[in-house]
Amino acid sequence: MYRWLLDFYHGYLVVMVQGKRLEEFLNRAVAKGIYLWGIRRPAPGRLLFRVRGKDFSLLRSSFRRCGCRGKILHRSGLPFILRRLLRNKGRWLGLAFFIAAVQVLASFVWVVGVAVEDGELPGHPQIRDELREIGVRPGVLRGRIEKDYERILEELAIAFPEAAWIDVKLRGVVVLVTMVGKTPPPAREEGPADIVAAKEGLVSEVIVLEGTPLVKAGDMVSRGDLLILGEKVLPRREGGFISQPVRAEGIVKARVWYERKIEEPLEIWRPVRGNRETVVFSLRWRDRVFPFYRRGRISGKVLWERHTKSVCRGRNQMNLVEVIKDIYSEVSWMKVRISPEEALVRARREAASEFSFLLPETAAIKNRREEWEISGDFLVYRLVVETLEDIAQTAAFTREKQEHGQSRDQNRERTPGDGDRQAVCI
Amino acid sequence: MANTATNGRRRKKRYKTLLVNLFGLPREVLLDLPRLVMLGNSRMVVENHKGLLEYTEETVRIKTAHNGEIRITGRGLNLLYMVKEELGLAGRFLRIEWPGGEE
Repeated sequence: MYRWLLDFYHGYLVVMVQGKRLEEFLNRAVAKGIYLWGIRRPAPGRLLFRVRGKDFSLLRSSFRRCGCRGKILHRSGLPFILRRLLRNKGRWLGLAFFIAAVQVLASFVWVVGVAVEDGELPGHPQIRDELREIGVRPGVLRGRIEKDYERILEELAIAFPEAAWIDVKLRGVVVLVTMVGKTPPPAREEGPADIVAAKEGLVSEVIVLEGTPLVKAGDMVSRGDLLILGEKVLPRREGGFISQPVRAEGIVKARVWYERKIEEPLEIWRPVRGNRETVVFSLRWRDRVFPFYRRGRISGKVLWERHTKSVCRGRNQMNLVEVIKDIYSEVSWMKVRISPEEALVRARREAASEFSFLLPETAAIKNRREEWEISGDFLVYRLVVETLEDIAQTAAFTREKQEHGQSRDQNRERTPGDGDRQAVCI
Repeated sequence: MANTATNGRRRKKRYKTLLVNLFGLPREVLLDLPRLVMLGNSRMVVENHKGLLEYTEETVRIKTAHNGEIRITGRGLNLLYMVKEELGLAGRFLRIEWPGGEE
């Protein structure tokens, strides 16, 4: 390969020599220090060989002395290619014109793209009109966009106040304007409301932001119990107190217990690998996989194994090119009895999986207790987890219910500590 | 006169052989012998040759020092390259002979 590259770089000739004293000719040429290669005898009295372009002139005296006639059959290599190219001036002019045309055309913007994401923003035609007015339109010089980049962004921000983020990208002859609309925060619910218990638990801490607490640390509450009443007691100028309906807010931390019972069988069906298998070799380049060899063919349920070998790791060690070997083995099912230890591991794994869905993200696990026993062909596993979490849940205001059920007096006065929790509207 | 020259050459060669044997020097350099490197029966490199005597597809005769000769017979013989000190040969070699003997 190296030799071929060198010969191509220097340029070589394929020469045919006709005559009787061909061996003598070769000896004379070699004696002059000329390198000859690819020497063949296609017919008696004829010799074909290759020689560097610059050495051919040195052969002329040898031709004469040996009474041979030499003829160049073919010129090959870089110097000859360049010479051929340089000879044709029209081609070079065309190439220069083409490069100049590409350069000139590439200095203009030809496409303006608009991408709108999320939020409530005006339609594309309206944005395009605005862009045209600002000066971002097909046919404008790229340099002008680059120069006025800050101004374009500012004017767009003024023209579209509903946009949270605006970006203008210049990629070749394309200007891409991306807009992201403002997403308003979720509407805050208004109106009076109570806070009730979302779960059963033992209250450990009550932080009231708004409303009247009805429980204290140490109280045991059930699901749906009223924790913070949606009313506020205010003193009256003329004496006494009145209650005002409010939207109760607060944190009620409680100890909550979760229990899970899992029955894990000691006899299970386990897949066993058979003798038949299919092997598939593939080549992965970035995200695309090209299978190139397959041996064997099986169908149905299979066991899949994958082995990979990196061919080219790429500049950032991303395994750009990989050879992948996939082995699909035939599967047969066999009933096996597993040990209690293995069953316990499986039960624990299942319990952990269930608890990952059951426990809220904010819950802090304070204690966990597990017990198990073997009952017949099953291992019975029980897991109790104690957490500390906020059980406060906003619920519909109870005033109307209380009004209908207990009192219709709209302006009844009350004093604190009388044990009566009926709401009084002003 | 010719006899004296021949005797002188023989004596010189004897001294050279003695030197080679005594100091373990490369024989092909001191005694001007051809060196053949073969790759199976399809490739051959001949070093220290003195030129070609005959080149056809069936026979290649190579001149060596002291009017020696190597005759290679085979099928489809082909000269891969040739420089002053070395030549490469390809083809199917059937026989290699030294008609005049060597050393």
